[in-house]
Amino acid sequence: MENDWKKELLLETRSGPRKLWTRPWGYGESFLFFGSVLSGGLAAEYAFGPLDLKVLAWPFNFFLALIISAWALLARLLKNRAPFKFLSSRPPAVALIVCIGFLSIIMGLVPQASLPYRAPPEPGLIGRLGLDHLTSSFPLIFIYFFLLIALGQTVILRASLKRPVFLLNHLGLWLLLIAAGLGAPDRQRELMVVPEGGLEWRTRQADGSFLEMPLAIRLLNFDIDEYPAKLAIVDHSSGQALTENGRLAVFQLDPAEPQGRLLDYDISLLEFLPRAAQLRPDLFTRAITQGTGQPAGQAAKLLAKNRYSGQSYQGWVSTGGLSYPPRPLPLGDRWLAMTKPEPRRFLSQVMVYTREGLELTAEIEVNKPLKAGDWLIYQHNYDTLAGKESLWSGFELVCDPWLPLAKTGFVLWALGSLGLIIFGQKKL
Amino acid sequence: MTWTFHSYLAPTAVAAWLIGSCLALIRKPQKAGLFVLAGSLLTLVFIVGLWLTLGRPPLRTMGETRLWYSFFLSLAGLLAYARWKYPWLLVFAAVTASVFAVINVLKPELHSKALMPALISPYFVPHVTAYMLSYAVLAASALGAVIQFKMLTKSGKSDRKLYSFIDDTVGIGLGFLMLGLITGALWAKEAWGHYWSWDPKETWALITLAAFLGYLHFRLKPPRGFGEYVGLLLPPAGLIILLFTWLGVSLLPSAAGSIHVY
Ligand code: HEM
Repeated sequence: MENDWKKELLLETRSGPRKLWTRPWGYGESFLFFGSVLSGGLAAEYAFGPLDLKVLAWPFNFFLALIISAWALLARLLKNRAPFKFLSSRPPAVALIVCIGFLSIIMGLVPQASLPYRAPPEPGLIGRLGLDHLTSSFPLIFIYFFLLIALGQTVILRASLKRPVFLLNHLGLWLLLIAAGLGAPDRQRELMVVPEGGLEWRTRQADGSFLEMPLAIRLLNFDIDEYPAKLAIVDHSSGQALTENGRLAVFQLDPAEPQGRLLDYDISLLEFLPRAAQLRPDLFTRAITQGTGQPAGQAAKLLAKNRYSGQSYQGWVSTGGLSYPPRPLPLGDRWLAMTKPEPRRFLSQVMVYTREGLELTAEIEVNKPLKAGDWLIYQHNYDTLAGKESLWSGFELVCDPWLPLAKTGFVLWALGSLGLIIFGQKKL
Repeated sequence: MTWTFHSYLAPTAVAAWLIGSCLALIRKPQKAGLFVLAGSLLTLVFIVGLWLTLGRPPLRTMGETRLWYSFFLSLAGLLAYARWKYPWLLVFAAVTASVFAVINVLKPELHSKALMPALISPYFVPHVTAYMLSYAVLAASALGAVIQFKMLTKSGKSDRKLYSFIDDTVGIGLGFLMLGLITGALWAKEAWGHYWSWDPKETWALITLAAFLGYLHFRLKPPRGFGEYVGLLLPPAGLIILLFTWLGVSLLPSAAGSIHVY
């Protein structure tokens, strides 16, 4: 097989400039061919309007995957026949990659409508050609289909264990593209809002109706874990916070590193309360506010010593909570004050029940979804006004039956990338 | 070892990197290599010291990640220089590593530990590091391609050694680019529910990938004449799109409402 293309290359080099559409097809034919596919896609979109991807849902997409695989296997048997030989050669690969790049550029420039796409009453040319909803348009689907065919053939025809880098990259990408593209109509995403203490099993649809889910969520508690606040110094007369090199001068409180410096002051953190209640104006203690819907502030007991005058100040500083105002520490003609704390984790403590009788107690937070049966549950939103005392939590429920295939593809592709870095693209 | 120490170590490392660069430019490869290596080792010593002091790997804050960039960039530049002998490779890596070190000295307030929740993920560091390395290596390929393009237009002949340099750096850079994309996709699955949402940043990352992937497959069956010129334009075009993906996407109308703009 290797020798085949070397022979081809030699032949071509000898024969000099050649006419279009003489076999084997090269770059000119490839670009004309896929240019026509693209134009055909645009024409189809213009004629038949937006396509509802749901028509490709299970089991139709599964059969399509089988057909594409069968075609690739057939290519192995009939490898010297024209369509098979052409689609697993290099020029159409370049043309396909260029087409994908071209469609992506349009997608990157023209704002895309959200899916599922519904045609506006009088769409302009951009909409009629599918350019504002490319991911579910004929041009992209045609090119994607040829990409799956060409890549599948390339893998089955040209791959061998002697070229592991080539095999890992192309097989990985092929599996991923099958899962991502053909699997798209089977993917389901729903939003579910659960009140604290409540149980919910329905999600609200765009038309206002409710859809019952195969699982239920009980929200035990929603919480925001905050970073300790930063300290800043405020000037009495101007009311402005002081800057250093043109930026707000701040000191990040951190119980693990209690000593530090802020402008002219050496700061020592003596005690830190992430949830503080005020006992007296000058005394704070730990607050118990869970489930009350009332935000508690942070408070810190500090020692600030002026480096030049040697004068020291000690006392409590707080961000302020629902029942008490922010409290700064006076430093002569300045204040030492806390800035608004930044969130570190949004987390919901939940119990999840599935139809299969699974019962899970877990914490769900950003970047740490919970797997419950076929579904992944993501922290989505909360009542931003109430902050960490929000009385409800919003979850995104995602089901993607093709995910294992996609992950397999990602892993193979990542190994292929590493191979490319370590061994280079030269044959091993 | 704490950050106070960094204000002394970093300038020393930067000095070593810059002296190394100058030595490379006046063709003293061995001394150049030694100086750059010294700068990298100083950075490594600080990383290890900080690690021991903090009792955790220094991977949490932006300042801490920049230490790793400095270290890996200078090291990667050194290895590439040893392999390819082009002085500008070492200069490029050393200057970029220095920039990160200097930022760490001038902007100490960025040692902030306050990372927003979506960024707290084991994918963060590999994602960003892979992209940084790909930027560095692909910039080299683009530069090589421009030089080759000029040579081709002037004399009608291309340089084989330069082609093998461009091809190899495109292979390596593309490897890192794909690792960045893959870690980003897996991270998106954890954070946003799906590995690919056609977010503008993702779309432009795909265009970048297409440019370099196009070049790689082009070179497997190099076209003659006009096609060769077009092929050589792919790496510089790819680099421009890459920089745009990194810095410019948020300016686009299609980026309104993107979740990736930070
Ligand atoms: C994940 C991205 C990809 C990477 C890293 C990649 C990498 C490579 C490499 C390194 C080679 C040379 C292998 C060798 O000569 O041993 C190659 C060859 C090839 N690639 Fe790709 N490729 C990718 C995607 C694609 C795509 C999307 C197509 C489109 C159909 C494609 C089609 C081909 C073809 C036809 C060959 C020539 C195979 C042969 O004749 O032996 N590749 N690729």
